[in-house]
Amino acid sequence: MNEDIVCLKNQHFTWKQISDKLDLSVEKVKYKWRKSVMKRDGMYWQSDLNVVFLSADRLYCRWRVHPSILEAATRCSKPLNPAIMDLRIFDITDIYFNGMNAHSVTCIKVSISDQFWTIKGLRRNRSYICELGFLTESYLFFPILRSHPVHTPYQSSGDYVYKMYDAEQFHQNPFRVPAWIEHPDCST
Amino acid sequence: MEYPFSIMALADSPFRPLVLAGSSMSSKEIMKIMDVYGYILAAAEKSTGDRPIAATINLFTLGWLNGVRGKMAVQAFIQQQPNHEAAAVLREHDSSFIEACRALVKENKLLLIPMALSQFPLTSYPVKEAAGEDIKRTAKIWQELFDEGPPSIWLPRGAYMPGIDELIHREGCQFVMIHGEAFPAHERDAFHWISPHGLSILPYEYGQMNADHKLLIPPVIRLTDDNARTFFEEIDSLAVQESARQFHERIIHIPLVYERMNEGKPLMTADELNRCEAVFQLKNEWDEKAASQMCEAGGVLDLEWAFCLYACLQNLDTELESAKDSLRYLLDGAGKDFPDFDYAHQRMRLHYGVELIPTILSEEMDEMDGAILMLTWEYPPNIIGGMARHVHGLAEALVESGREVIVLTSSYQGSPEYECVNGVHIYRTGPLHEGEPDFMRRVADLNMCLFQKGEALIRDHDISVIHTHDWLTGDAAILLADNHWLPIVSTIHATEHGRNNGIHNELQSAIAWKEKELISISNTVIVCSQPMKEELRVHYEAKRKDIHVIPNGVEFEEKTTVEGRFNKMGPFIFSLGRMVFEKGFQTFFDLDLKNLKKKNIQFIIAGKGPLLDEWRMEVRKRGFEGIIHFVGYVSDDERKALFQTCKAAVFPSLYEPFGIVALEAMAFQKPVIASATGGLKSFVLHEQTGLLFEPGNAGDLSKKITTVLERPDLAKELGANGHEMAKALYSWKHISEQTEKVYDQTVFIKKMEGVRT
Repeated sequence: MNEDIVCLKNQHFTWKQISDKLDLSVEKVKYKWRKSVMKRDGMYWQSDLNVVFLSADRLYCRWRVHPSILEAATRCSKPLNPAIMDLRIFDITDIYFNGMNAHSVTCIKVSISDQFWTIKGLRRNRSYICELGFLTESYLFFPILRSHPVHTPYQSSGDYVYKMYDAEQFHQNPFRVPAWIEHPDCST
Repeated sequence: MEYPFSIMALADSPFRPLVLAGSSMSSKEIMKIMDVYGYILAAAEKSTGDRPIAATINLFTLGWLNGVRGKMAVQAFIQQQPNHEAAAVLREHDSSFIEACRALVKENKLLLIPMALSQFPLTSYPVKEAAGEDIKRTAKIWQELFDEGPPSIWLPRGAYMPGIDELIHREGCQFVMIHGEAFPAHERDAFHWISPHGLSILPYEYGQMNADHKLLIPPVIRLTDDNARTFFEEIDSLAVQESARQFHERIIHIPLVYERMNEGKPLMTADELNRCEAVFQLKNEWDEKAASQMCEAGGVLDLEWAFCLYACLQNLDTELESAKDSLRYLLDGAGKDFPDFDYAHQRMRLHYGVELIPTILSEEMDEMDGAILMLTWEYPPNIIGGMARHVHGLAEALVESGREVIVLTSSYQGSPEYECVNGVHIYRTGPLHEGEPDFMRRVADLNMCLFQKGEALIRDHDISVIHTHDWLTGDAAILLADNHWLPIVSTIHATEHGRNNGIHNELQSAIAWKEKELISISNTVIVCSQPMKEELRVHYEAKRKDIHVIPNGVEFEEKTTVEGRFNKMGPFIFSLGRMVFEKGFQTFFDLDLKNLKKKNIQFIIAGKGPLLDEWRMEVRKRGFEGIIHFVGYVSDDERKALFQTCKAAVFPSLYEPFGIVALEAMAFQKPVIASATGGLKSFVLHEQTGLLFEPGNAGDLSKKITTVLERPDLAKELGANGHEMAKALYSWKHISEQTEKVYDQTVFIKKMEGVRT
């Protein structure tokens, strides 16, 4: 059963499709899959990069990169210096970020053993996203992990009026995608 | 907008259960809690306003007040401070804090709001899904305490960002309070603010106790033990009265806001987050397997973790270490497939005051409708062994909680075929050949009779589950269940293997086979202790079985006399435990025996273990043979007799995660002297339910023993109070509640099987 799940998952079937096929609940499918993967990889944990506000203009970045992910990344693109990683913060206010179109980007060199960093000097009412990666031999940024986007507070509390129309629209039709960034747990 | 309250008290002083555990009832810590929480009750009772007063409270504190320890603290407080304004309110509500809260909420005098459980800013969790889980956990505890969802959840440090409204709304909350600086000052109280996800938003501002309030919105007042009384006294002048204004709705999107953001203050520091990192890492130490192992004990792992985070954030180092130890101990057991449910339940009942029924039970399952058919070899007044007493206690407690119970048992000369005693329907039948000398044949005869009567009962009654006690009535249970597709729950009180220390003859082997069959066919098995569960798994091939441990716990029996080797002993202090270093029996060697000798007191220490011989030698070496007796293994009856006749029971453990033996001593109404460590500290309340001494400190222990010997009145009082505590922890009510959960779960799973087939 567990092998079937892993096999179907590798063939990019969705959880729902696997659950229907095997007549198991989605939770059970996920659980069995996790168990199999864990068994295969030893105690597996998810690599992630999370950002939270320390204040209106400071962001705390925390990441964990599984060695297997790092190894895979290194195979894809050779790092300039394997001991150094690149933490980047992009200003993505009001754009559909494609990696190249950020309004601004700040690069921070971190050690491979670092697990957190505080970024200061954020501007008000801007959207930011962080990425962790490394510089390749050709001095290009190779991203490995991306954080959830965040939005800084309004410049002034009266600025809510600029988003009032969007807020009303969403309130009337909550099935549409909100025109702002929400707490990451909200979409889970 | 119009607020649903006239003023809000914010009770967020740090909650330190360890300090509470080690203190007596009149201690400052307990008085602080009673001042803050008690005056909230008293103010609500006294308030004459048109709207209730509101209070935001720490759920750990409220849970503790609802737990066994907290309840005792409240009772002691009422006795010691009869004139305190809160005492009057509490007296009206059966000395129960939670009952008083419920009543005032119902009367619309009080609106209570929980602070998010861990008090960690919800926007700052550096782990995915942790904020959502915190909100869910908070709502779930609230649901258990108040039988309804919370009206709102207070945001720690006022931290809010879009999406938090949706997470709170999902739990059925009606509003969320967001700090005033998110709104333009002139508009703050001009609109009825609504979040994009449809949750009402109430702006708040902190107020001062002595300020001349010109606020249109009810102020939030941070309550401490220093200002709680003034809050109570001034409640009517502090409260803001309802206005007759009309408010327009306005939908507002607020990106990020927290208290004092516009003053440039940080929400959190990187140091705080780094400090909490170890707690976040703890989450990686358990997986679904451990969680499902612990599922019987509800959300104990989650609660322990949430408390770790709370303690870490509040800088409560000792509390954090203790909660971490507790969590790791539970995980260790779960990892080895032997989770310690006794300890888990004890933590929940003493420390957290909630039980958090597993999700499968609370969200998807209804309480079963039909009756419980209980099969038992004996039932009072026909008492042969302990089983009759057990089934009797359980059946009556189940009836008490509203279940229909039909007991089917053997008849005896002159017994009525049917009677209803205290709501329990009792049917008696068989065996036909009462005089049959062959035991197995007599049992078979009885089972045939029970089966036939059972068939009739199932036809006439709506039976949902069959509960059999031990193999003696197993055949009838199996047959009835098979015929009517009913689930079987069986309680295994003892096994043939355990009774005889192995299987040695044909009869034992036949019985063991019957036991195995019953265990294997039962849908759910209940045993009374962890070692018993282990025994079933090892000797009864029950590795994959759903076995629940519901402690018979402590027996509250009348005095029984046992002939034995200890009958002629003079007055003695009793102690019991495994002979290992951490049990601390070596402390006895350094007692002030010279002084104690004058009291003509001896020490009996029972139990086996690796250090037994070494300690016996030490006794000889020091010439204590006539005073300290390491007596080794004692039988059940001997143990009871020792507890009954001792002057006091001493538990000198250096490390003790639970300490159920101390509870057992309490059940025998004996004064308990225990080291102030771990689990012991949580129910041995100094000078109330026992005496505490510093672990390993023989001088301190000598003093406490002398106190008990010299003050028989105090000893008696400690024994009586301890008895009450043990009763509260291991009462039939508690056991029946746990059994009911097992029934509901078993019936539910059986139904699901039906859906699949």
